[in-house]
Amino acid sequence: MIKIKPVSPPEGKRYPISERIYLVEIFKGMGLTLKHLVRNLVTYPTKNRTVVTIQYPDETREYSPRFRGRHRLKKNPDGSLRCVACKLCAENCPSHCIFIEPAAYPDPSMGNYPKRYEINITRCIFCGFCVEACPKGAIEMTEVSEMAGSTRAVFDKDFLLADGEEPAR
Amino acid sequence: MWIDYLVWTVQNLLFPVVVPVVLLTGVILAVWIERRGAGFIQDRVGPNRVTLFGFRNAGLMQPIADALKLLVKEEFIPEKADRFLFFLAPTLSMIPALLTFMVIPFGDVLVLGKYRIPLQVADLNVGLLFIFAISSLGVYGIVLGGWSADNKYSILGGLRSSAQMISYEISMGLAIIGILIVFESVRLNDIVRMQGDLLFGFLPRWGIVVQPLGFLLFFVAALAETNRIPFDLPEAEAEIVAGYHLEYSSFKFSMFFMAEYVNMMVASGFIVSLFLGGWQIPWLPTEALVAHVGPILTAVLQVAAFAVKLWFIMWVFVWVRWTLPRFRYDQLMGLGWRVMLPLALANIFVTSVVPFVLGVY
Amino acid sequence: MIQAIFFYIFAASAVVMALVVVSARNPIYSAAALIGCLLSVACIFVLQSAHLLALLQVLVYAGAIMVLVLFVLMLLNLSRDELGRRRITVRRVTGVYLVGALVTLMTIRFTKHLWAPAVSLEPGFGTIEEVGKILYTKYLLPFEMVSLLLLAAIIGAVVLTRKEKGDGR
Repeated sequence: MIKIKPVSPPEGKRYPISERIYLVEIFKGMGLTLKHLVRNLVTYPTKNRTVVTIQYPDETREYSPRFRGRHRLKKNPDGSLRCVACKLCAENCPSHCIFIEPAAYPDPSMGNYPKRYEINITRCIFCGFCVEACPKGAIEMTEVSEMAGSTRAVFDKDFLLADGEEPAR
Repeated sequence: MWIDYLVWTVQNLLFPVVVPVVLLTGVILAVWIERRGAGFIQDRVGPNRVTLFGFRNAGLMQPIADALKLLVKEEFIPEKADRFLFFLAPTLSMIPALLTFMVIPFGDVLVLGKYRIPLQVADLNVGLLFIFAISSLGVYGIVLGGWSADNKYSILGGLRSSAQMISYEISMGLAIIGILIVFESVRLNDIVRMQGDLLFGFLPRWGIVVQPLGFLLFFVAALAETNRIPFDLPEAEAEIVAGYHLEYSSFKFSMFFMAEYVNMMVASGFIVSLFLGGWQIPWLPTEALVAHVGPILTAVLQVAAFAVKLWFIMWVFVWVRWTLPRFRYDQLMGLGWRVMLPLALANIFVTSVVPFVLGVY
Repeated sequence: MIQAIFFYIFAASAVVMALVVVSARNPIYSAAALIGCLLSVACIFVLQSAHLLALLQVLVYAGAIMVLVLFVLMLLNLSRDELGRRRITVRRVTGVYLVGALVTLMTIRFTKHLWAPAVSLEPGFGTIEEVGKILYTKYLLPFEMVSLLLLAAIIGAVVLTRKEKGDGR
């Protein structure tokens, strides 16, 4: 708990002498900073560090399982696409970043599949509405947050299916 | 004799070159201490990623990387700036900073046979005044730099700096008079040598022991003179952006930056020499050391003792910076004129009267 | 020999700086040149073994008084138009004439000392100890009178700048 001292003295009173001459309070403050320094230095080489820095490329923050990161298209256990190209996700997308071109399977009983499924990731706002809209549970969001690239990427179907791995082309 | 020439060269050519180089290299260490210290005080880590040949070296190379970055940056000169003074100002702040260290002794006189090499660039008989005189010139770099950039914030920084320097220089000078009365010399090496004596048989007669109030006043004044927090009003980032060096970029900025750290080192060296026994190793006078380990090792040990003390004071500067907030300007002036000046005068009075009462004279 | 070379360097710089002081349009330049002039004269003092005098000159004049002068000049912040232009007036012509006359007179007066043999100095000349001894024995009365004068000036300054209570300003 942080104790907060009132900034101004009580009505009609002056600060106590120890605060008016600054020095005592300054030494108290320096004691506090020294305490932090020593604690952080001592625990730095050990496991339970007290510094709060997460040294990013080496360490990453632990994300919640519900974190909404990069999208992924899921497959059925037999390896077929779950997506039936119903376009509900594209309709629900507030930033209109999903583009689907449906196509029919040769076997009419199997219905449709997305011939093209593209997410313009530079427009995506990671709201997760596509995931919620999907009746087949075919799209989900991973914990991956590192999507930086040197081109403006449109994630295509192969990429989304491969879960970030560069698909063999 | 060739050895005569060698000694002469060391004294007159090597020291004046080596000492500024060491100081400028020390800036690296100072910046490192500042940034890593700030990090750990604030529960952070601080810059630790710059590598040298693939080694992390705890971020020691970060200042070098910063310097390289500054050197390759665009040199920007404001259109309406006074170009001559704009160019002159960084130099004006750098030269006094480097000059003042010349009279600070970093070791006792090294006696090798018949040769006596003072471990100090110039052993002036007015050494203490020399530091005051030259360091008081450092403010012109700030003032003229602030004025010539033709920017209202820079001018404010320059104005603040000049008023602050004048105010605290007086307290600084008066705080030292007590030391002068106690040690009866203005030659820095004499002052340091006398701090090797013992008080009551066990306490080193350091300036801080005989002049605690003088030390406090001098330390506060030194913070103000080096524009360190809580007295960094000339460059207050939050109010006047960066003050006097607002319009400076590239190498000129790095000169201001280095001058600030060199000034800190000079102030630390000065404080160490006057109040913390300079190169003295407590309870080990030079004669005893020379008798046991020989003159060369003695000199090395003393220089090391001086360096340790100097960097300790540097660390205190950093420590204070990351603890205290900045003064308001009227508080700064009030502290300087209404608190420090009377205290310094009282200190002089007490220091002069006490020996008479105790019957020392 | 080296001393003579340095003397002429510093003397020349002092004269040039002094000329800049009176001829510069911009008062900031005048002030900066005056600092340079004072420093050059201090260097000449050093060459004459008057170290204390040199340092006091730097400390008091170059280090403190000129800072105040610059402080005031920066507050003025004169623009180019306010500085005026170069004109030849009666006053300036008279000034140049008087300076010329003074230089001529001084040259006539001091030339006979020019080739006088150098006086050897006593040991300790110019050190703080010697200056202090002379100041507090031989010149004690003038010294104390000057300090009284300065004290009066300080009190006068305080009285002049003090606001009267209830003045409302």
